[in-house]
Amino acid sequence: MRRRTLQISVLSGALLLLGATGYFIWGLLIGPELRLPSIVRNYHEQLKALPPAKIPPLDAKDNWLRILNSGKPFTPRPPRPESTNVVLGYAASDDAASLNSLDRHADQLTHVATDWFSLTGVEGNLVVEPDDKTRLLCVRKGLGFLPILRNLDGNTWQPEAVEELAHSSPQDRNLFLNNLVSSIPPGSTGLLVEWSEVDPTYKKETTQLIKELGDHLHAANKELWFTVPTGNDFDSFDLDAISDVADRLVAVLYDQNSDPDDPGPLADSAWFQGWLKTLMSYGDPDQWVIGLGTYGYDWRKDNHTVQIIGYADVMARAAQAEVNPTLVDSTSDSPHFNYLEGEDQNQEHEVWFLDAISFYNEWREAAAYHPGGIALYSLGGEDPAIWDLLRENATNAPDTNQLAALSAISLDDQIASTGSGDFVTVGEDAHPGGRQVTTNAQQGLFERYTNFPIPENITRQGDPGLHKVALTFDDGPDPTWTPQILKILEEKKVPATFFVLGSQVQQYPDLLEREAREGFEVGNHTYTHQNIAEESDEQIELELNATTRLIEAVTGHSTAYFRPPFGIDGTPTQPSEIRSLRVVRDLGYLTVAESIDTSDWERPKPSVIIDRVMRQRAAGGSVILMHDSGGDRSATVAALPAIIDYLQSRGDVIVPLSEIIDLPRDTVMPPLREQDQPLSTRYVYGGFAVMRFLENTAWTLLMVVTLLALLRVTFLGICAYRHRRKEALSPPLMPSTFPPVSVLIAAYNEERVISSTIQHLLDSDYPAPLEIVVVDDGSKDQTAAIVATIAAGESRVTLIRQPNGGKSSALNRALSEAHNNTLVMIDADTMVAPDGLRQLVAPLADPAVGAVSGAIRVGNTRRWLGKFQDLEYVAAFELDRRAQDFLGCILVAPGALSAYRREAVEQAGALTNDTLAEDTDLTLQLHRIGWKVVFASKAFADTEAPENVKALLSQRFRWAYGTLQCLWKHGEILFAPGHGWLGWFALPSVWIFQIAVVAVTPILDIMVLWSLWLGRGSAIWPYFVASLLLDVGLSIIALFMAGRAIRSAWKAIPMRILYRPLLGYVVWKCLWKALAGSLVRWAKLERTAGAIAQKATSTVKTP
Amino acid sequence: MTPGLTSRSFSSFRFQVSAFFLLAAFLPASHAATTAGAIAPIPAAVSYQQLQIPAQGAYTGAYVDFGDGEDGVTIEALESFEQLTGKPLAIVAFGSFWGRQKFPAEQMALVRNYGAVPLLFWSPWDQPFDEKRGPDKYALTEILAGKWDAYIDAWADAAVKVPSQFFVSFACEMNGTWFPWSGSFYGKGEPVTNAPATPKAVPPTQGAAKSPLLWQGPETYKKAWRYVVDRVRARGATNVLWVFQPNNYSDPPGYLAWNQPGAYYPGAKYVDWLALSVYGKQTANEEDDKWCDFDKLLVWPYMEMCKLDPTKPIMLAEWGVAESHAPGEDKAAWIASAFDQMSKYYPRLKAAIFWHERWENDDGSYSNLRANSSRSSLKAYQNGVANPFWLGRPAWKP
Repeated sequence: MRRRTLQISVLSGALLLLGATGYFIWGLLIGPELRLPSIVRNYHEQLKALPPAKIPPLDAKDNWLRILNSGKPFTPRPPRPESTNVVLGYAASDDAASLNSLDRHADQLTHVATDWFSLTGVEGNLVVEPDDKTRLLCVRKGLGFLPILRNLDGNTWQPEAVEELAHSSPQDRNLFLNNLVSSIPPGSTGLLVEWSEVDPTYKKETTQLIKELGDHLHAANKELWFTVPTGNDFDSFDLDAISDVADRLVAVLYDQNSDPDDPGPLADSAWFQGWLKTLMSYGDPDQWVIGLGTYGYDWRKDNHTVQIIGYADVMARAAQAEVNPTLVDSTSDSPHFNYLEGEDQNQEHEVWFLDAISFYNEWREAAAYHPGGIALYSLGGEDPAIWDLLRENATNAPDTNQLAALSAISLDDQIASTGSGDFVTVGEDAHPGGRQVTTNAQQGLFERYTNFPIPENITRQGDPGLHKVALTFDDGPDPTWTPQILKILEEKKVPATFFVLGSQVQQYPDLLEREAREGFEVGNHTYTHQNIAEESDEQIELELNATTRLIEAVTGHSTAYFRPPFGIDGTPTQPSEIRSLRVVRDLGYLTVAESIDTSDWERPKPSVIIDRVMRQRAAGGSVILMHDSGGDRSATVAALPAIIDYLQSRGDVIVPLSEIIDLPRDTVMPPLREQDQPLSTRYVYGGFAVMRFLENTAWTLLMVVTLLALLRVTFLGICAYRHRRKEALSPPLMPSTFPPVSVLIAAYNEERVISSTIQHLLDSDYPAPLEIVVVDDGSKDQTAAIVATIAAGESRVTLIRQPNGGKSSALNRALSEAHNNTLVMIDADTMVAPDGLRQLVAPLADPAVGAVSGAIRVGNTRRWLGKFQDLEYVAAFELDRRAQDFLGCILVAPGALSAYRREAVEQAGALTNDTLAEDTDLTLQLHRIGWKVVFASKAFADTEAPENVKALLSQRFRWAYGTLQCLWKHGEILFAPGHGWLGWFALPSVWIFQIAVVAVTPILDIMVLWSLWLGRGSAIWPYFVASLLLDVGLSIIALFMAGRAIRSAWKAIPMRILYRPLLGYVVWKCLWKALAGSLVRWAKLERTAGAIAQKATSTVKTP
Repeated sequence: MTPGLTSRSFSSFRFQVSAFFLLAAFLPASHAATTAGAIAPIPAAVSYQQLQIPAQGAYTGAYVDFGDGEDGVTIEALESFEQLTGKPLAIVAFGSFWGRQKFPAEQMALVRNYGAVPLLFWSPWDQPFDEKRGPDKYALTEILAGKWDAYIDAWADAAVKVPSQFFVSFACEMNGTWFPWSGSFYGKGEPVTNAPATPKAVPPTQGAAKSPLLWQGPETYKKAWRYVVDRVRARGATNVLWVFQPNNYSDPPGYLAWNQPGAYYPGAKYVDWLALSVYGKQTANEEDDKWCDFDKLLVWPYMEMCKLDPTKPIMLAEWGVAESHAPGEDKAAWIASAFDQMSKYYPRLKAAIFWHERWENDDGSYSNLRANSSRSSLKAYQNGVANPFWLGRPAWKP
C-alpha cells in the first residue's frame, strides 16, 4: 500500500511537471504579440514622390567659363603610345562597402588612394591616421597605393595650416617635408595631395611649397599626385608651375554642387566638358587622371543637411518613395529626383546622382583628350555596371549586347540604407530593376529608368533634430552597478533606457522592477548575449521571446525595443545581418542602434568616456551607448554625471528613446492586457522563478557535492591507510592447514573463457583438496562441451547441466552439488591468481567470519575504456572495500571472487533471485544475521571488463539497478541502531555517492557549460577544478594503497569528462526505470527482473 | 563632409572703412544729437541678476564664427576658442536676426551655461542675410507701422524668462551703407518736413539747438529704436541691456552731419551701453582698403561716444582685422597694440568683443579675421588677452 501511494504520487507529479514544462516552453515559443508601430511598418507611406527639380542654370561666375573665355588656348595633342592607363579608386576607410568593392574589382584598378595624413591647426600639425586595412589589401593585390594628405580636421578645412607652412622659413619647411616624406607608409607609390580653401592671395608661396614637396618626394623615389580642384579653389594654385613638378594631376570633375551648396548637379555635362577643356590646357595630357564621380547626394531641404550616398541607396530611396522612374531627368548626365519624407511628409529631399551611363559619357569625353587615366570617386558607391563598361574601350560605342546588359540593373551584393536615425528596420525585399539605354546622336548614351531596383536594405528612423539625446545602458541589470547608475539618473532627474539580458533579469528581477517603477524605459538585449547574426532564426526567436516574457512578467509591460548584442556599426554589410534583423522585424521589434558608442566595455578611464561622448555628440550622434553590467563599470559610473552635465551645458535635452523616435510610450512599451496574452504572465514568471530556483539549487548542490567529496576522500583515505597499516603490523594469519574447497561457477554461453578460467583454478597452489563445480545454465554454445572435455580428463572438475534458470538458481544448484563446507564463488571469466584461493580462504579460519571478499582487477587494459575501469576498480571499489573492512561493514562480497562458509550461506537462505545483485543481497543478509564479512586484499583475480560502451552500459545498468533493489529490500538497515557502520556509513554512502552524486554530476557539468556560455564561468570554475582535483587525489591515494604506479592518477581527469557522464546516464536510466516500473506494478517488475537476470547469467558480475 | 568641397560663404566685405572717414576726425561733432526726454518709467528689474560694470579692467568676449545667420552657437566652438586663446569668454556675441522669427532661447541657454553674458545682434533682416540689398520686409517703416508687433512681443516674452541681464544690440552699424536699416536707406539727410509723430518723445538736443533740422534717416531710426524698446519693456523684459552700436566711422562719411553716429542716438533712457564696431583692414584690396593702425581707428569715435553720455560704459561690440602677409601689414602687431591701447587709454571701455571668422570674398580671396589666422597672430592674441586687465568671467551684483 505504501508503495502504491508513493508510485501514484510520483507518477502524477512527474506528469504535472512535464505538462507545466511543456506549457512554459510553449509560452516561450509563441512569444508576445508585438506589432511594429505603423510609422515603422508603413515606412514607405511616409515617402512621397515629388516632381523633379529643374536643372539650375550654370553659375555665370563659375571659373571655367571665366578662365576658358579669357584664358589660354587649348591645343589638342596626339596620344602617347607608351601612355599608362591609370584607374585610381578612392577607398573610404570607414566604409565596408568600399573595401568590398576594392576587393572584388582589384583586377580593374591600378591604384588606390585612402585617407592617411591631415595637416591641421595654425601650427600645421601632421596628424597620421593609418588605414592599414586598405593599404595591406592593395599590397596583397599588387596595386599602387597612395596615402592622401589633406588640410582637413574632421569636417573643417584648415587653410591656415597650408598658408602658414607656405609662409614659414625654408628651414622649417624642409624639416616638415622631411618628416612628412619619412612618414609615408611602405608600399606607397607616392603621396596624393588634396588642399582646399587656401587663399589665392598666397598662390606664389603655396606653389613654392608644392614644388619643394615634389622635390622631397622624388628624392625618396616617391611620386607626387596633386589634386586639382574645380570651382573657386582652382585659383589657389599655379597649375603651370605645379605641372612641372607633379607626376600626376588628378582632376576633381565632380562635386559641382556639394555640402554647403543648394541642391544641383554633381557633374552636369556642360560643366564637365568646360572644366575638362580648361584643365587639359595645362601640363601634359598624360599627366592627367580624370576624377569621375560615382555617388549621389541626398539634400534635405528643411534642415539643410546633406548625406553622401551610394548608388544602391539612391535606387532604394527612389523605389520606396515610388518615384515615377520615367520622370527621372537624366539629360546633361544629371539624373535626379525629389521626394518627401517624415510622418507628416514635411521633409523635402532632393537627390542628385551619377550612374553607369553618366560615367560612360564622361569617360568618353575624357578619353578624347588622351589623359593618363581616370579616378573613381568613390569605391563602394558606384553603379556596379561601370565595371562591365570599364572592360571595354571608351572610344567604342557599346553594341546591342552591352546595351542590353546595361539595361538590367541588379544590385545583388549591395545593402542600401534610407532615412536617418538610430532605429533600424529591414526594408522591403530585394528585386532587380531596369532602364532603357540608347545611343544618342553624339554617340553618347542616354537612359530612361523604367523600374528602380531595390537592393537588400534597411531604413533608419528616429532623427531627433538638434538637441535631443538619449542615454542607453546595455547588459544589465547588475546588483553592483545598476543601482549606482540609477542613483545618478534619479539625482539628475534624467531619463534613460535599459537594454536588459534575460539571464540577468532572471537573477535580479528586483532591479528591473525598480527600473520600470521609476519610469525608465526597458528594451530587450537577448537572453544570453549572443551574436544574432550567427544564430538560427529559431534561436533568435527563443532568445527574444524568453527575455520579453521575463520583462512582461516583472514590469507588467511588454517592450518593442531590441538592441542586438555587439551593436550595429553603420549599415550592415553581411547578408546574415540582414537575415537576423529581418527575423527581429517580423517578431515586431524595433532595432535600436547607437550613434554615440562610448566603448566603455574596453574599460577606459572616465575622461576617455567623456571625451568620446563629446566628440561623437559634436558629430551629430544622438543615442548614447553605455553598459551597466558585464564587468567593472566604475569608469562608467564615474563618467556619467559629467556626461549629463556636459550634454545639458551644450543645450541638449536628455529624453527617453520613445521621444527620439517620437512614439507614445505605450506603443513602445505596451501595457499587458490579459486577453492579448497566450498564457498568464504570472505563470511564465513562475517558470522563470523555477528556473532561477533550479539554478540556485544547482549552485548549492555543487557546493554540497564538492564538500561531501572532500569529506569522503579524507575519511576513506584515513580508513584505508589505517587498514593498510593494520595489515602491515599484523598480516592476516595463514592457517597451518587449509580446508578442502568447492569452487562454484555458473556458466552461460562462456565458450570463449571457460577453459581458461578452469585452468587457472587447476593451476592454483591451494594446499588442500579442490573441487570445481561448473553449472552450465542451458548455454546455447559449446560451453558444456568444453567443460565436459576438461572434466573427462580431470577428476576435480564436475559438470552439471540444467535448463536456463538464472544465475542464482545455477549457483544454488552448484551449492547443492558441492561436497565441501568451504565455498568459493567466481564468475565464469574470473582468472584467479595462483595464490588467490589460499589468500581468499585464509580469513575463514576465524569462526566468526561468514564471507570473504577478494580483490578484483581488470585484466584487459589495452583500450581506454579498460584503463578507465581499471582505475575505477582500484580507486573506487578497492579503496571503498579497504575502508569498509576497516570499519567492519563490507557491503558486497562480489560474485566474481568471494569465499563463504556453507553454514553461513545456508542460514542466509542461499542465493535469491529477488534482485539483479544476488551477491550484494547475500552479503547484506549475512550482516543481518550476524556473520562477519572481511576483505582479503591480497586475494587477486583478473576479470574481463566490457570493451565497448554498449556492454559497459548494460553491465553498469544491472549493477546499479541491482544495488537499488538491494537498498530497497534491506531498507531497514539504513540508519538502524545495531548495524553500526553498515547502516550509518556504508549504505548511506551508496545512496549518496553511487546514486545521488553520480546522477547529479552530469547536470553540474552541463551547468558549468551553461555558465561559460552566459559568461559567468569565473564563479563556477573553482568548484569544477576542485572536484577534478579531488578525483585525482582519491586516485593517488588508492593507487598508493594498492601498491600501483601513482602516475596513472591523471587519468581521473579525462575519466571525469568522458567516463562519468556514462555512469550518470546509467543511474538516470535506472531511476527512470524504477519510476516507470512502478507504472506496471512492482510485483510484475520483479518477474521481469528475474527474466533479465536469467538471460544474462554470465555477464552479471559485481567486483 | 566630402573632401574636394569648397566653402562658398556669401559674406562679402562685412564692413568697409574708407580712408575718407579719417577726415571726419578733424570735424567738430556739432550735430551729435542726444535726447534727454522722459519716457515711460522703467520698472526696476530687481528680480534679474545684475551685471557689474567692472571698476578695473574690461570684459573680453568674442563672436566665434557661428555661420549663416550668425546663430549656430555650439558649446564646442566656445570651448575650443577658450582652449585656443587661453582665456574664457565673459561675453559671447551672436545673431538674433528677425528672419528667424524667434527668440534664440537655445543659444541663450548655451552661452549662459558656458558662463558668459550673451550679446545679441537683434537685426531686422530677412533671409538670405546678404548685405547691401536695402530694406526688406522688416524695414524700419514696417516696424513703426506695427506690422511686427506680435513678433516683438513674443520675442520679449521669451526674453523675460532669461533670469539674468544680457546685451542686445538692435540694428547695429546704422551709419553705414551695407545693412538695410541704415539711415542711407531712409531719406539720409533730407530734412523732416512733418513734425515727428511723437514730438515730445524727441526733445531738442544739444546738436539740434544749433541746427533746427531733423534728418529723415536718423529720425526714422531713432523712432524705430524707441518703438521697439518700449514694446519690449512693456512686456516686462527689463533684463535687456540695450547696446547702441554705430560703426566707428560712417559711410557716407561723418563730415556729413546727418550720418554722424550721434545723430542716431535714441537717448539715455533707451540705451544702457554705448558701443562701436572697430575693424582694421579686412581684404587684400589695396585700393579701397588701406592698412590702418588701431589707435587711429578708435581715438575719435571713442570721444564721440563719450560725448553722448557722461557715464554710460562703452564696449567694442566688434573688433578685428584680417590676416595679411603684405609688407608693412602685420596683424600680430595690430592685435598686440589693440589689446595694449584698450587697456591703457580708454578708461570707459568696459568690454571688447573679438570677431573670429574667415570668409570668402567675391573675388575668391579670403578675409581671415580668426585669432589663429597665423601663428604670430595667435601668439599676439594669447599674449594680449592674458593681461589680467581682460576679465574672462562676468561679475554679478550680489
